[in-house]
Amino acid sequence: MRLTPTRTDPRPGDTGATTATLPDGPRMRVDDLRTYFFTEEGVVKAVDGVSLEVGAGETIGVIGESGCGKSIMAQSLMRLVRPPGEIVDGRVLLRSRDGDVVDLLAAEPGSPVLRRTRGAEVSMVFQEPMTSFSPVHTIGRQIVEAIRVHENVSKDEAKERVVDLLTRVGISNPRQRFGEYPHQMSGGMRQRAMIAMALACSPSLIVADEPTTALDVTIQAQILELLDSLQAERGTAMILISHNMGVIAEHADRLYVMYLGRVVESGTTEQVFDDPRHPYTRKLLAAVPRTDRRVERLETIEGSVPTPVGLGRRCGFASRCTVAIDGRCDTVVPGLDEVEPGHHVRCFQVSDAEEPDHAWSDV
Amino acid sequence: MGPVLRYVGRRLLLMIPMLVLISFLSFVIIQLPPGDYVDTYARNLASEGGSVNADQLAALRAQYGLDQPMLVQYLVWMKNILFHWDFGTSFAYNQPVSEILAERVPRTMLISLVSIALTWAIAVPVGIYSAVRKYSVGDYVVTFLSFVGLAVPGFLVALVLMLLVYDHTGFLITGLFSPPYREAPWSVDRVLDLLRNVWLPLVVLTVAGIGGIVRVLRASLLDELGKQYVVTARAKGLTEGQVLRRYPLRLAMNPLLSTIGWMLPATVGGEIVVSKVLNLPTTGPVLLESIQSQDMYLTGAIVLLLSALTIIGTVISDVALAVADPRIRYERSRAA
Amino acid sequence: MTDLETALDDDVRADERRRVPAPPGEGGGYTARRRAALLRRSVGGRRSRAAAREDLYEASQRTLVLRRFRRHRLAHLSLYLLVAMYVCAILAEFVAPYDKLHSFEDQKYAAPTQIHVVDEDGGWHLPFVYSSRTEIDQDTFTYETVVDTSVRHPVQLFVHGDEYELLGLIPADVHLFGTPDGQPVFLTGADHLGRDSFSRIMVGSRISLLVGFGGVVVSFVLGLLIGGLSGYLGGRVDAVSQRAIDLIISIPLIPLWMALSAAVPQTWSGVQTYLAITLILSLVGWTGLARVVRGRIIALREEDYVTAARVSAMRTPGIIGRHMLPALTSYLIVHITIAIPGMILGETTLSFLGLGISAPDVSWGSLLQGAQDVTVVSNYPWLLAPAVVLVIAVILFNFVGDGLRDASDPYQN
Repeated sequence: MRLTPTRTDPRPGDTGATTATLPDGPRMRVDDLRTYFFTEEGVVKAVDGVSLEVGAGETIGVIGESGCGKSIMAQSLMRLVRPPGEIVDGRVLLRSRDGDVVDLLAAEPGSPVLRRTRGAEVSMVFQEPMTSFSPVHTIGRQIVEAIRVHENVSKDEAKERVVDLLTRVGISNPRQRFGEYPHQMSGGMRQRAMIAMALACSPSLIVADEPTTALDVTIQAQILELLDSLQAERGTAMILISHNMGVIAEHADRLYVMYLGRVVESGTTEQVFDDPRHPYTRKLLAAVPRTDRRVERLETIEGSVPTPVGLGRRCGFASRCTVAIDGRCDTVVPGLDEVEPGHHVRCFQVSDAEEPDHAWSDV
Repeated sequence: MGPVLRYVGRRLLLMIPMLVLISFLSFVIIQLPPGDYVDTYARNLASEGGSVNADQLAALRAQYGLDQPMLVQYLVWMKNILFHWDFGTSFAYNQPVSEILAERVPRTMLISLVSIALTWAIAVPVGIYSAVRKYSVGDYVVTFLSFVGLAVPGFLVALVLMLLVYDHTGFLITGLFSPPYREAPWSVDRVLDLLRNVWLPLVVLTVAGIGGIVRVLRASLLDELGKQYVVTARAKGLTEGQVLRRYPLRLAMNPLLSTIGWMLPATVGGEIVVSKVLNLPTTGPVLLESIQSQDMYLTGAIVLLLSALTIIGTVISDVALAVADPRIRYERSRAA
Repeated sequence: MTDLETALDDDVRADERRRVPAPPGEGGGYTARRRAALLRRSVGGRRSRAAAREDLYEASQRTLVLRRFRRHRLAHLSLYLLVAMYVCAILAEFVAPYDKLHSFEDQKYAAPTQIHVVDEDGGWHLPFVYSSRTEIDQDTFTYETVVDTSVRHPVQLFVHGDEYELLGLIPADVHLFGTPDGQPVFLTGADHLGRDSFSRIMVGSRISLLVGFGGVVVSFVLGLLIGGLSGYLGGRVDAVSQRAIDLIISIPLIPLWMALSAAVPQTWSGVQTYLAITLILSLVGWTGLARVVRGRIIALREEDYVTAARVSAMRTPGIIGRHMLPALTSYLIVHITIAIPGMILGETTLSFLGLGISAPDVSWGSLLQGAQDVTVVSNYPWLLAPAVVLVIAVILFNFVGDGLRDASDPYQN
């Protein structure tokens, strides 16, 4: 006997509508995104049914260990995933600045819609600025390109804008830096340059994939503050991806906890931090060392993240969960259920909701 | 531009002692086989029925300075080259070496340059296609062909092609020109004859080069295509074509720059064995002959020329690489 | 609707959704199309993959590489064929029907002998050949093969023939195949002296194929040593050896070969000359490996695990041996499989020019000397048989090398 899943958002199968709709407000909504990698070892379900929403000017955090699929999810948003990875299902609805709503996953590869979106509507800040810039072109040239791809401005005008941007992100001697190569700059400066590039066309949404992980702790704080202030200035929305709880706690309004390609808990930052319901979230929070208490041992989570291939119908966390129910957690996929307004959890300890089968359940 | 100039300067400076060393090495090499030209001369004379006694041989040696110790011979040789631009005389041809070279080298260069141009014109697009359309039918065909191209030695290709042409048309390619046209003055017929003959060496030389370049380009392009900066470029909204041309291709060409250095000596020397098989009037066959007959000055001049050009070519390659890849300039300057 | 009915309704809808993939135009045009195609492709392969996956978790590095190599069927097959070639080379006198110097009367430039199973009257027999010999055609002055179909000579396995010493030690006279009564079976024809080309190719393969090994070992050791030390120690040692390498490769190859091989005394035996040639080839060949090794060592030197080893007071040879060598192995293996055909081609070229192996020893290159004249080859195309064997060997090596490289590259996918 199954209970009805208590989702409030319209699901793809229900509406039967051919035009995508996005209620007023959200900048972007992701419905049931699935990105799989078709390898010789099997189908790796890197992202397996992720749904999220970003409002205008909002910062949402996506948190999870390495290997949970958050980076792939970020790349899927802009269709940057390459074979053997493929986006097999879902919708990514984006409201562009002129108000039109477009489903990014429906567009043909290389279409003007996609290319327009990349950089001008949605831009990305990558984790490793050293490898993300071309080593043989100057920083200035690469940022100028970001502008001239979308806007018809002269080289000189673009250069001025770039120098402006470099100043705005806190790079000293911007004119000199303009002509420098990536390997001539420090890590922090490179990341600032990357942010400048992301902001070049004033996008409405920035996807920041672990923007500070590769940097020193002191620089980390500066970069995050920079992002905050730029957001406040321009009203840009942000998807902030990290495995660092502290970073997320400080800068995100709402957050999504991901594990093995699925969202296991989501809600406002307060909700999730004050009242974590999912065993994984609890363990994550418990694992953060605290300065106000002495402990004999630091908390850890047993085991490591398995590869999401050939796992079948089960909760992804079941193999490492201390409160897993035998026969239940390893035979059916739990569904997302709302435990309080805005706070969703995917766990049989919390609710009986089950994830319905879909075309890929048997693969 | 500053660091680049400094780098160039350093390399040029380093080149000079290398050139000196190589000139000495070249001389040693040509002296390695036992005996000298006088022995060859005596042998030829004996086979024709004549004979020479030991005194006459000794006198000949003294006349040509072949009885001096090696170091002295080397110094005399170098002195003539550096100060008088005199490369000596060929015993076998009885001509100044510089004359022989002036006759042969331009021809060699022409054939080599044309075939190099053809090679690159074909190999680069093919290599790009093969990498971008990895595992497609086209890619497999290209990979297979370049395998075969690399496996079959040039002279074999030449032989087989000559055979096929002869079998099907009865036309025998024996050099750049057919015998009747060899010494003839220029005319339309002579040009036609040239075209009938020259396509074969061009094809052989081009085919030999394509396989190598395609493989290097394919491998390095595949390498670059997997890197993070390509994703960044795409995320900026560029078309696939723009992404490919401006970024990974730019970097993938760098390994090919090091092959430029080799082009310099290859242009002047040509493909030696192929030239011999095809009987081309280029530097190659002359070099082979002169080594076998111990024609010292001719051999020495060519070997010296080729070695020196190799060293110069390497410097050019390195400089080109430094210009193309800023990381190298700064690495070296920091290390220096 | 009651709760139950609502529930059942959802059940039905869930079932429907499970059975039918979402219709196109629903949930994304391009993505929906890809989804349908990929779904079809994946469901099939799941069972076989599931089985393979379990043991992958436990496999060591070497097992993984071997497994991937085995999947690369072309490389796999090539390896077997190569091994077969080398076995033939080692047992050449057995595999070859005749001694390499055995010249048959009246068989100059004989065409490849045809092996029949059906005679002229349609009768079936065990494999046999007809009597044949060659005569000069008075008009064209070429040798024509004349076949006499009245006499049949059975072709048998393990026949007695020319005497030889297996592996240079054991006297024997059994050959893999041949005719019991001496009628020659020329698988690839005969040369201008009536000698069996196939036998000579077999014996020649010993030199051509094995010269590669000897040379590679020498250049391997030299390249590894000099490149490794140069890369690891850096500084003066590195600078000097790099300059030396630059010098060595600046010398044009052919004159160097010619000079060095001409310097080999005529009085040396075939074996000694061959060893000298090997040495010559490898003295120039080590530079390539040295450069690659140096490049890798320099890259590895900066890796954290090396720094850790150094900090733990490990000595230099230990660091190079235990920590860096494993990372180099894939490069080394690939380099070897590419270097060997290079050596083989080098020896072929030298011998073709008349500078390498000389009579009575044979190698593929020296055999090809007989194919220099196009007009002659035109009449007797089988003279190019050694070239075919050569090309096949080199291609096989390249396939294996490529397969190894693909298999050992951990960053493929």
